[in-house]
Amino acid sequence: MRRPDSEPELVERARARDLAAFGEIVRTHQEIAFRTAVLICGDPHEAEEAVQDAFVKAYRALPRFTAGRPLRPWLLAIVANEARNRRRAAGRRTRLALQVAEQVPTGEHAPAPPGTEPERAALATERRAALAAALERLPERDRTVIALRCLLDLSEAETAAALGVRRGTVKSRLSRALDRLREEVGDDVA
Amino acid sequence: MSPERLERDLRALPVAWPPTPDVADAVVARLQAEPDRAAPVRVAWWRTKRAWRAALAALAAALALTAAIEPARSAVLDWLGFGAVTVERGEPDAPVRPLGAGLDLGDPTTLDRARAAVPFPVRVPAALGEPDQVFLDTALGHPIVWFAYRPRPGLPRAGETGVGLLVAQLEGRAEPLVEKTAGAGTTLTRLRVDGDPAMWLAGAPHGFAYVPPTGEARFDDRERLAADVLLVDRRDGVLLRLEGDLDRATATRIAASLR
Repeated sequence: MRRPDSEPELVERARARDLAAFGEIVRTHQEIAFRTAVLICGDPHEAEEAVQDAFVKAYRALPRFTAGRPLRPWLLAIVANEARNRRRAAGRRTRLALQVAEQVPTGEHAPAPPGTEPERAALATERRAALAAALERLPERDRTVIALRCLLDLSEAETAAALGVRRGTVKSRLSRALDRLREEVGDDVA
Repeated sequence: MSPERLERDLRALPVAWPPTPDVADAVVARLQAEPDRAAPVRVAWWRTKRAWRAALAALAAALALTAAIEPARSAVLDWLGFGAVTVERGEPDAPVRPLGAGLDLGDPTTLDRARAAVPFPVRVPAALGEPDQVFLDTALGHPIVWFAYRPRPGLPRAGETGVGLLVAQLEGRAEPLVEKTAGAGTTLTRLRVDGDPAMWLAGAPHGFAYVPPTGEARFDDRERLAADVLLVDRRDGVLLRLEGDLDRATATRIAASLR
């Protein structure tokens, strides 16, 4: 049995206009791409279109992709750019289009908090709600950097690529955004 | 709450992401429909000896090229594999990016497009003419139009920004927040520009805070904090902001020439 192609191999094949290989690349990265787009343009439908357009553009731009570099930040930069264009075209004020799940989920995304007896769980739920509410109150700029970095778990380089700024800017912007979030949370949680 | 605790709590937030749509088929179908697509290449082409020889030759050429453009590399090749970026011979600091590109002013655009995109009138200082570069900044939740002007006689290169003059226009008011942003070491002078209330801030670098027509006060906390700034709360509801290494009289004259 043939082992699945590694990403550099897929990129190489896609560059040689192998659409099946590019389809695999899309499938690998579409979730992170979609979530990034949702965070930036604030609407799942717009985000879906942005992601589609972005992958089409990425395919055309592949000949200019520097082989050997990580693909994901490069893709995310294109996706984020498309998402921003859509947000502008729509002329709407963006919001964080996310609801923090109300239940403590049992899925793979949320590790159970340490100490899971009901009281502590209730407290944790309360704290999470307060944190989500505080996040909601932050200016969009702060929310976005926090969401990309902490909710979506993008690396610093990926966040920088998505925001179109330098890594140092991500670092300082995140630290200030977290400071402000801490102030906001302070009002809600003793 | 400690910073570490906050970040840990954030990362543990169970986020209900909207379900990810499968776009792969749609993307492939769109690409297949493109007329200029070359015939599909056999999957295993890169396994052939000829392909390897060609690849090695290409690699050698790429390495040689990389070495040749080394000085400009860090400025040019970072994440700029697409878009209108060209590698030019010249000094490492050659301006291959648009004027003001490193200042985090939003997306480069044109004057016409910026005008079409914002709900307020975008005016040009007649004393300077059309800007060398226009940016549309939507990062704070409502649009700011930035103009960047190259240094020229009368507009020296400002140490903080590297450009001659930055002009920002947005819907909002500098009062009453201006006092807060002017920290120790900044002098605040109140004056009038064309009859509108204006503030001249000089001295130590400071931030930029304002009140948009709706919503809460915003604090624009870019890496670069301005030195000399003129703020005008115009009667048409637009907050005008000039930033550069200018004297007060020149800044006032430029602000009063907005048409």
